[in-house]
Amino acid sequence: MIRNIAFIIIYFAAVWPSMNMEGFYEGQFGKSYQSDAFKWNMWDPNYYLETRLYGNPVYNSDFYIKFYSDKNYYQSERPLAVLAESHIGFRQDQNGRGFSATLFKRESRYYWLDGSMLGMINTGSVNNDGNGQGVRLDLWHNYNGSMSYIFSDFSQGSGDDIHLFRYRQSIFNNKVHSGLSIQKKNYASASTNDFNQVIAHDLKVYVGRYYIATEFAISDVPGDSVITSLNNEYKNNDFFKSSIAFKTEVRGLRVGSPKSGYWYINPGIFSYGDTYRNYMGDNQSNIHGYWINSYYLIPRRAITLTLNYSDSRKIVPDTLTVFNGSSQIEEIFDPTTNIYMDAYIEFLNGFKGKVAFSKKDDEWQGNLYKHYDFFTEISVENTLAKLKAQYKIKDIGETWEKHITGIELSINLNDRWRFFTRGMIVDDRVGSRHSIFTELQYRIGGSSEFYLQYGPNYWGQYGLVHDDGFVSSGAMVKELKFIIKGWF
Amino acid sequence: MKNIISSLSFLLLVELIFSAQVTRDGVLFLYEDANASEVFLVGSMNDWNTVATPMIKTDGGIWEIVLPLEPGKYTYKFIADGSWHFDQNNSRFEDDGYGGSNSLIEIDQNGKLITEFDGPSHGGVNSGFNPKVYFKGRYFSKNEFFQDQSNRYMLETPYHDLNFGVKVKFNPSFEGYTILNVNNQNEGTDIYQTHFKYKRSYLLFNTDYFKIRAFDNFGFISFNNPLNIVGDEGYNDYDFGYGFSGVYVETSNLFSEKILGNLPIELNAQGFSSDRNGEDEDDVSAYRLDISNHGTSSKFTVGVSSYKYTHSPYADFIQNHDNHEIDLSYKKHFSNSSWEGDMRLEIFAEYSSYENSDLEAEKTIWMDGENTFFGVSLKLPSALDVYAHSLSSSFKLGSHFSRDKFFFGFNFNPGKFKWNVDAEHWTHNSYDLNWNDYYKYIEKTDGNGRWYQEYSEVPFEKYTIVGYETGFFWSSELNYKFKFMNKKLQTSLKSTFAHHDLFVEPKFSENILVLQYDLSDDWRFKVDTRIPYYNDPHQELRTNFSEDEDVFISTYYEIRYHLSSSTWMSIGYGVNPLVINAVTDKFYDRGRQEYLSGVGNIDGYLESSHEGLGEIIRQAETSLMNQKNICIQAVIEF
Repeated sequence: MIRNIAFIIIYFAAVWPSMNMEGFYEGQFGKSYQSDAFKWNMWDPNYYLETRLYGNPVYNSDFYIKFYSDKNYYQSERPLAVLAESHIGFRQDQNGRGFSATLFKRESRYYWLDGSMLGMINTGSVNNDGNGQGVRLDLWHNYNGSMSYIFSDFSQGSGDDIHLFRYRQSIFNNKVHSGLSIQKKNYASASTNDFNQVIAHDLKVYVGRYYIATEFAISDVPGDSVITSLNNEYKNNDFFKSSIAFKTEVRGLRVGSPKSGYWYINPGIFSYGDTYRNYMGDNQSNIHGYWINSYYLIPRRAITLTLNYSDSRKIVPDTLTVFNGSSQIEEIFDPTTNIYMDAYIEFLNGFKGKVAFSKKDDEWQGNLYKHYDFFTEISVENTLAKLKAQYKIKDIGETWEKHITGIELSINLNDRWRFFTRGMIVDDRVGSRHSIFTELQYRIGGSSEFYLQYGPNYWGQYGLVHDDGFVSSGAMVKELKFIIKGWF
Repeated sequence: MKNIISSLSFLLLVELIFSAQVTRDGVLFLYEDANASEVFLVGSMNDWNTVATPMIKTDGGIWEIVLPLEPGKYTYKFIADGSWHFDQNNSRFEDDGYGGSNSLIEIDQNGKLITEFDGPSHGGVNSGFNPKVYFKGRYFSKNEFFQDQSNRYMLETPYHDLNFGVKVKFNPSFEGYTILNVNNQNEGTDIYQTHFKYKRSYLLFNTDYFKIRAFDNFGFISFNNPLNIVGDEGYNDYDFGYGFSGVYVETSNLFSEKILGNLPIELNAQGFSSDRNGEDEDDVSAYRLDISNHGTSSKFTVGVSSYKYTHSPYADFIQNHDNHEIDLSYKKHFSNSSWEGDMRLEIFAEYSSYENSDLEAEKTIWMDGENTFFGVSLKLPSALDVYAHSLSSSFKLGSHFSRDKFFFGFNFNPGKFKWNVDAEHWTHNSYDLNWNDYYKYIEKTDGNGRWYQEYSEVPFEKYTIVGYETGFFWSSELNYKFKFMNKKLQTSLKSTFAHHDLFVEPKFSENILVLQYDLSDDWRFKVDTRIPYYNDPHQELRTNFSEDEDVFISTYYEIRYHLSSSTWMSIGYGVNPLVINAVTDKFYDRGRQEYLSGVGNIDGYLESSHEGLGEIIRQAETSLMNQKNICIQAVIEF
């Protein structure tokens, strides 16, 4: 169905040339309580205009341009129309065979590639924190196979190059999916050895309700003589310590019956060798372990129980000289275990609740660090209002134990007015801190609205009691803000 | 300034006309696309036949067609290289029933166009201030892999050039157009800070009798006297207006009709006043008036033009260049039903004189000169055009200098085959100038007296014959199209030869062979090979192919996904000849010659010396060879 919808969209986009413009404008005016002497200080009003222009003036081609004007006194005294992102794209499809090619500037989405369990690509790394530009080429044929190739330049700083290649093929009526990934980062230097390369193969097999996925990768950094030398040694003695990584996961295992319900169990194992290096993605090394994720849906009850367990430790231990009567070399593997359990319950009338406990025992250089957290939440939502209350005890039993309480309330006063407030309190041995944010929103109509705000809107915005910024050192800031937004 | 405001106020009061123009022969439709290879007018007037009404390309990338239309409403669009476009110069639209719009014109019983402001029937706001905003632009991106010291192909910082144009049509007679540009490499800043910069703009009043355009860095002015007292600048023949801002006025046909009634005479006037951008005291103004008798098959024209450049490098000191000319032309068409086409004879003559002077306490004329031009061209009914021109130039700059130049050329186009040849031979008579003055006043400016000229008249092909008393330069372009394995194959051979005199070996020749093969409707394969040949013992630069000495052959292979002339993507390998002309913003294929001139700074070098030029050229050619790269480029116009 989704494929058909996508085809219809592409078809009409290709048949009728068009050009569109959209964007939004935002102005912010505000005062902060500077000090008892200065009291309320108005800061420089901020204006932001973002415009996006896109279209396909000729069939099988498209373009996209995003630019913005920001009042930024650090760059210029006048707002500039900065080109933020853009691309030119071409495509062709004939009976399931075709290609698309895109020349892009600062668009992270073109680095995305599917299917890696090992985290082969970290978009921020390959996109040079948003400043990469290059070309993405996709080819596909009508035998369930396709290829993607992306190359780009670190167009800021060193000028390193990134090459990402992936070929994927499905066989046996889509029961088996196989993929090959090759990626390389060439450093701008005079040596041919200055690169980091990772080659990976992944396999996903569906057998009945069972699903088995595995990925194997091997890396190379020939310019790093220490790593290379160590790696050669490992290859002869212990393969799993060398520059390889793998991850395997099984899904579909279950215990129970239709009457009692099923407990689903998804186990997996992973290993990143000591000399494995991937500077373009998940760059873990010298660690191996396993995990067991499980959940249980209680029959005829809207209750889900989750229990996850994981264990990991170093493959090649650190060594520590200890004196126990005489000097002894102690091997340190720094094991880490994680237990997470929660119960998620849906009550009547839109009420939902969650209780969770996580226990992490983390060793670092032989010292054990405990992170035991308790979390509970209750929420309710209907057309008139939305309420969410959370309570968390972080690092139970430690000297830095914190109790965090948060509450969010949103009320639709009528079609145009909405009231929102968010309050948070954190208690620890030092004392108590709080933050209150209140907002009144008015929908003017015609794709425009304004906000009147009091307090810091950023604390708790992305997680309420999980906001580590506020939990560690955040505090209330007295500020009053008027914001107007319009979309076009 | 007061005069300008008064003129503009007056023009706002005169009757507004529709953007499509009524001529004596019918309605003139115009479409602008310099890159298009074919354009059709399609609409209700030809039952939406997509190939029935091809438009004719004229100078400046304007396509036009005149259709005699009966009174009534007509909807239409243009098809340029397979892409549909509405008329951006027409603010009247009608829903096309497919989610888009057709352009609309309406002709009344008197044969006049009805504008949307002529009556209440169109609905909407019936005022002169109902602007419509159009966005136009071109986005070009180029990704090049160069081989680095370790023989790896590394991607250079990709090149992005975006022209973003905003056109506001306030009413059918008044529009404004501004182009902004982003170019990450020219800007030289961090990529996240690349921003739009103002590039060029114009304001256009298009009235019954006058067309007035206030322009800024827009090159579009050219006077049609044979020696182009305005326009035809440098070897790229730029129109005037680039790098200048000012106001340009020209009369329309209606003006001529109004003044002269039913007399078979046309009167045309042009004039502008401008200032060089970035310079307060650097002005150019020019005027032209021509009168033609308009017979059925012949046209006789008398024109006079005046050109003035004023420059004040510092207070109380002014430099002037004054140029005046008078020209005559006679054009006659011959036709016969048994001929394939018309025959056309054109005869031209021009006399111009100029002076360069300094004005401090008193006027001092330090250079004065004159040009006498005669030319004849003949277009035969089938396939052949020939022309012959002569130009005698002389000036006094301390001593006397004179030069006789003779031009000859033909264009032979019997069908699939095209051959175009242009040749010129010149002789410098006795003179006594130091090298610097010689290069500045004779070679770089082609002896035209415009010492301030920004664009050089010396293309790369002529550098080896700079400084000789005689010269012979000729170029040839052969094109042949045919089918190969049922697909179109286009071949072209562009050759240039530079001799220091007639009947002697060339000092330089350049051959560019281009093969283009259509793999399918959308895919093309192209090979472009440049083979230069040097034969300059004085500069110790001699090509010996057998010994591989001074051999600088470069080739560019390209596969192009070609959706239209303005929307394509390609991957290529070699030395890419395609660049964007920094002055005009248009693509052209002189990237290699531009690179050679730029990397060797040959123009700057020749200002001081001619000796050692061979080594400079050798280094530049070697550097060009090293520009070999893998190139992925794409362009899209919207």
